[in-house]
Amino acid sequence: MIHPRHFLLAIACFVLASIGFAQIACAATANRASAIVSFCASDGDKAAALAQIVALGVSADVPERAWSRRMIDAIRDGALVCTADGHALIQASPPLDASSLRPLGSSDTAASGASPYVPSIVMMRRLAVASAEIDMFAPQSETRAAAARQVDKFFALLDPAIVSRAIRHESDPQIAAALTVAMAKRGLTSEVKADRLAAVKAVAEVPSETAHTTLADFAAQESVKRDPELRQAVEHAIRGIDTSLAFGKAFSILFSGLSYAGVLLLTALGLSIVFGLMGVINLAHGEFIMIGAYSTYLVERFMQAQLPAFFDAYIFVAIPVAFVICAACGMLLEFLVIRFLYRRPLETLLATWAVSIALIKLVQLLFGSQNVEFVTPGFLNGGMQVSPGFFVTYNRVFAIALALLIFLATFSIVRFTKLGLLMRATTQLRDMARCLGVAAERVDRIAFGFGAGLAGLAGVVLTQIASVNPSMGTGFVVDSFMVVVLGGAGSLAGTVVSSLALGEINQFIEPFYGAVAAKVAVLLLIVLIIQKRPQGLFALKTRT
Amino acid sequence: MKRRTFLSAVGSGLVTAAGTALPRTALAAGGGEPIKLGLLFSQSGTMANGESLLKDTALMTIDQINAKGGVLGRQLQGVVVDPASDWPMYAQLSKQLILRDKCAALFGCWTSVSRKSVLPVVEAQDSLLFYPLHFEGEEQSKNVVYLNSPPSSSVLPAVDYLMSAQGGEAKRFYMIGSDYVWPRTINKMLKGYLKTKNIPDSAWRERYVPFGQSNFQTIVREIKEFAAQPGGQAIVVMTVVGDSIPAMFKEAVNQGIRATDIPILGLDVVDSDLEGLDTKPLVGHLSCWCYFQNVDTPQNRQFKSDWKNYVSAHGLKHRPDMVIDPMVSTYLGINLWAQAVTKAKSTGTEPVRHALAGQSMIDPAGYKVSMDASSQYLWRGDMIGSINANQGFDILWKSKDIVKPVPFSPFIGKA
Repeated sequence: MIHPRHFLLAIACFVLASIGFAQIACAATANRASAIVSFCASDGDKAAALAQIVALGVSADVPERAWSRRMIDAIRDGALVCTADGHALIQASPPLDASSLRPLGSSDTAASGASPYVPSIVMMRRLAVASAEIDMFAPQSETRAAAARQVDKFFALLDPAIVSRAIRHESDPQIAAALTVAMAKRGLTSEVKADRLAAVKAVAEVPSETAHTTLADFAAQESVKRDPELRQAVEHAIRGIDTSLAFGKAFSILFSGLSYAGVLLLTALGLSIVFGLMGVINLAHGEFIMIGAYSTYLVERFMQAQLPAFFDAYIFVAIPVAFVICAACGMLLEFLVIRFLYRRPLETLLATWAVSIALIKLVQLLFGSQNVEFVTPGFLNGGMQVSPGFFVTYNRVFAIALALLIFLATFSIVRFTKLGLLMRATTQLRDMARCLGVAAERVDRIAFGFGAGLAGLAGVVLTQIASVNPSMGTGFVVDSFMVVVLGGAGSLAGTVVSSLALGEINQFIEPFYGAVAAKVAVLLLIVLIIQKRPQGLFALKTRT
Repeated sequence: MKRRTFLSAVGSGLVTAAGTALPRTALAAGGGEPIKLGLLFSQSGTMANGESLLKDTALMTIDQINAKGGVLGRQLQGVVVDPASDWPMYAQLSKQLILRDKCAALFGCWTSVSRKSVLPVVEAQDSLLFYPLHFEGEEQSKNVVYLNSPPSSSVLPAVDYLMSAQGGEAKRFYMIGSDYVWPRTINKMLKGYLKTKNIPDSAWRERYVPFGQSNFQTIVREIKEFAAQPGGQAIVVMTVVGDSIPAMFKEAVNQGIRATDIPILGLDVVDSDLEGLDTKPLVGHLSCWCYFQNVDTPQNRQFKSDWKNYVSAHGLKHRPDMVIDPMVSTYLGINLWAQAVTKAKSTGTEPVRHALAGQSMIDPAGYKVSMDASSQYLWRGDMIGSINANQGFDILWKSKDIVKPVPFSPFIGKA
């Protein structure tokens, strides 16, 4: 029994072919249908079917290429549904017929109760290779460049015939060079010595762990061991790779330490004002960080709804918003609670602890206890290979940069402005300052608000690094106290030095002994230092 | 004077804060005293994300049973407490639920460490704890009903799959876990299992991070390095829990790891962990559970629509379109308990325990689950899910039928 649609198609093809037209189009449709049938066959060879689709994708025919790309995407996204009658459709709105990519009527879709094909890991690898192979022939040079990078990654799985054809077609010399290098790597398996030497050189050109492994495997081969020239070349290449990887690793550890230090500095900066300068043991400090993060969340939601064009900028809009909200909360807390408790640390501790619990529960009531969802701005996604073995992620760079900026701003305010002068005067010798006409209570309130605002800024940055939920602050408050106590209460420079030291020490130990050991070591170190120098690393000389 | 007004203000603040943590009772009219069920799920702290879902699922299931007339002609009442992700607190509150509130049975705990904390209490008081998570096994108490699978029927099949030709022929294993009993036992078992598969010791690496760790830079860098070394395809077996899951995924994505390079088998990853993430770069990473919400059965459609209605009717903050395995397990647990009580005509621990053996019902996952007569473990189906672009899992593989749970793994001693 011939399906009526097929029958009509055949007639149409016959009629058109007799006019001498569209022969290619009809053949193509048949190709498409056969590729789909073999892909959908329950016991069929999916890899072979994929090769069929790719063959269409690298052909000269533009619509066929587009169809093939669309199919590959659909399979990868789990949108391809094989129906019982040997057809397939692509889930979209409206659903499309997989062969013609024409929208389907609702009756066609309703008939198929089948669920979509879910690609396995192996299939996804094949699909990635397939899309790279197709993209090598794309008209846009960026797409081709991206494909060339993929080709380099999966070079062992590629069809060499397709790559060499792509090299011949390539107009951009850079992309052609990248492809040539990828092809040269295949030369390791070649019989010709010149090819093998060239391949060793090509692999060594981009040092990485993978390159190291490839060459080490290569050097272990009997034929290589026997050939002194080849052996020397490989050994030289491996030594070169080892050196650059060692540097990369050292940089990586330094960078991790720096980024950890950045987070510590950000979270501790507010506390170094509140606890360090004012002497208030504020256990609700972590909750100001949390409020800062939730303010960022509100800004993000607002921008998404109202200003989608500037969405990526939400993180910068959130900076002043979070600062103002947290500063206001801080001043309110000072007015309602803290000002009655100056110089009574135990009561302050208990009261701020209560406030911290109350704030957590309040946010839980308002937003729920689950993690809130943030869409990371585009420019903070991913990272960059700075040098072999040294990869930096943009969100960490952003955190470090912002930590530095905020520290500089804080330092200048405390050091060079009138407000900073009054703050220091009040906290160092309160009675004298009052005698000289400083409105000490107002200064206290502003200083406390300033510290809370800084914690809010930490919250903004942490949205890109840590999970945001009502109890996120509790983890940071301990670390912040550690940093401030170690650095020496009242010294901003001490806060920087101690966060740098803690960050670097922690990240230096972690690769060798694990994260748990790193934490233990850092805590023991703090205990030792505090025993020797109870006033912290940088003690402020005061006359009190 | 001023101080007193302040203290009373703080005091009243404390009371309001505590008020939300106090037992919330869901009294309903019915014949006689309601039967109380203790719900021991954290609504704050690092486990709040998952456990608060289970609390509300339990309350929904209780409502459903009450709507059908309750059990033995009596209504059910859920007594909710908040152990705040603090392990000793679970023991304390379970004691309170049994002795003060006179609960007939307890439903609760997510992490194994919380279950281990409750275990001596339910054993001393001879009560029943229904535990809804998949876990490390190696435990069998007559006072615990295990509603989810031990590793023999969840983790090992998934690892087998990844080692098969279809799964990408994994030959090397990077195990990263949070530092507590579940990850350590799972990895111990895995190492024993790999030994029986002739995988050399050099082909795996084992790392632990503190509970709640969010900085995975060093770990991910090490994973990349490990994967590039010779010896074949590497995979990551990830047993970090709670907030560490999204943190680990974020870092892996930022450092450019894709499932096509290094697949991550996240043993504790459920849909709710993917909530805050852009899952497009995560497509293809795996998890294994007895249930994924994409399974297409009438029971599952019903369960999902019930949950959706419950969330909107009660104004809950959960996502209405998301159901995870432990929720289904909780639902199965309460229903199986109700069936057993009906059969035993009593809520006493001993008669209910006897009646539980062999109880079965249709799981939303499409299997007919059944309570093992001797071990008090539930026979369930097994599935492997693959993360899709819509913050969910597609089902890559599922077992034909329910699988026999093996509480004590033969591979543990081999490591």
